[in-house]
Amino acid sequence: MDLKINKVSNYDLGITIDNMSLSLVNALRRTMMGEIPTLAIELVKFEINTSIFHDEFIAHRLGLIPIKSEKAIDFKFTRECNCDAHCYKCACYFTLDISCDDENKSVYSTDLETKISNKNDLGSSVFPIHFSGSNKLIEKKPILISKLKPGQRIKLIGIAKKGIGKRTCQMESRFVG
Amino acid sequence: MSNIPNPLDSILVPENKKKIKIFKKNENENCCYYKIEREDHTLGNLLHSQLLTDKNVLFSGYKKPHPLEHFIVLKIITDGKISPNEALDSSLKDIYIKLSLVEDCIKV
Repeated sequence: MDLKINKVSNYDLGITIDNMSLSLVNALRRTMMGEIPTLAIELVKFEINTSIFHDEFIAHRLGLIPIKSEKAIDFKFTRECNCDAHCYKCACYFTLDISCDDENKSVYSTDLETKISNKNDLGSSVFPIHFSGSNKLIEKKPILISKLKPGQRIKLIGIAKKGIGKRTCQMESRFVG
Repeated sequence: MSNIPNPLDSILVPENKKKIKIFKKNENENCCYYKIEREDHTLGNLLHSQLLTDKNVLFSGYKKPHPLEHFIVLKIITDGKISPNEALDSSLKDIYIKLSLVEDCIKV
């Protein structure tokens, strides 16, 4: 079985494999897409939302933001954790507090702040991925969440949990073709 | 209140069901049906193609009867020299060996 690496970067990996049956490669592909644990925002608690989009709309958009999940293995699944609903061992908390004063303002994923209780928390190294390095058009731009006019305000807490791609497509770890 | 099925339904085996259930027809001892819970084409296609490379296996096939019910049915017919259970066992071990070869290639 020969493995040759065609292309390597922080976001891409291309491999050519000789002497391997198609079903084995397909099984690897399906496992990579669906069964590797990642983090994604699942619950959103709103305090203030006076923007033009309703709560569920913004929560849906927040859930689709990719989150850096190299530490996802250390988190526990919520169903296995001893806590009631969620704690610092099975979830990661993000806060967003934006108000618009003078001009029209855009809310980006860079405005999401990680909320940690102490320095040793697992959540201290988890942050949203702000741009896609492989697509040159949107390489340097962060993800747009919403837009605000003067006088509007959004304040919320987002709770990110560990899951796998089979459960919801938000948690699909990567695109493999 | 809502129609959404539990998303963990497709992953976790419920307590009243076992992972694998064997159905056997009494006429032919070499034909065997296996119902494997909470698996899909990821494992089914891999097992089925690995069984076809075994010389003693006459027939192997798998299907997922309904996309919303999360189990697969696997059928094996052997020629009598080995039983279907042994054929399944050896093909699973072969798959494990192949995957550990891939792991070694990647680590180097």
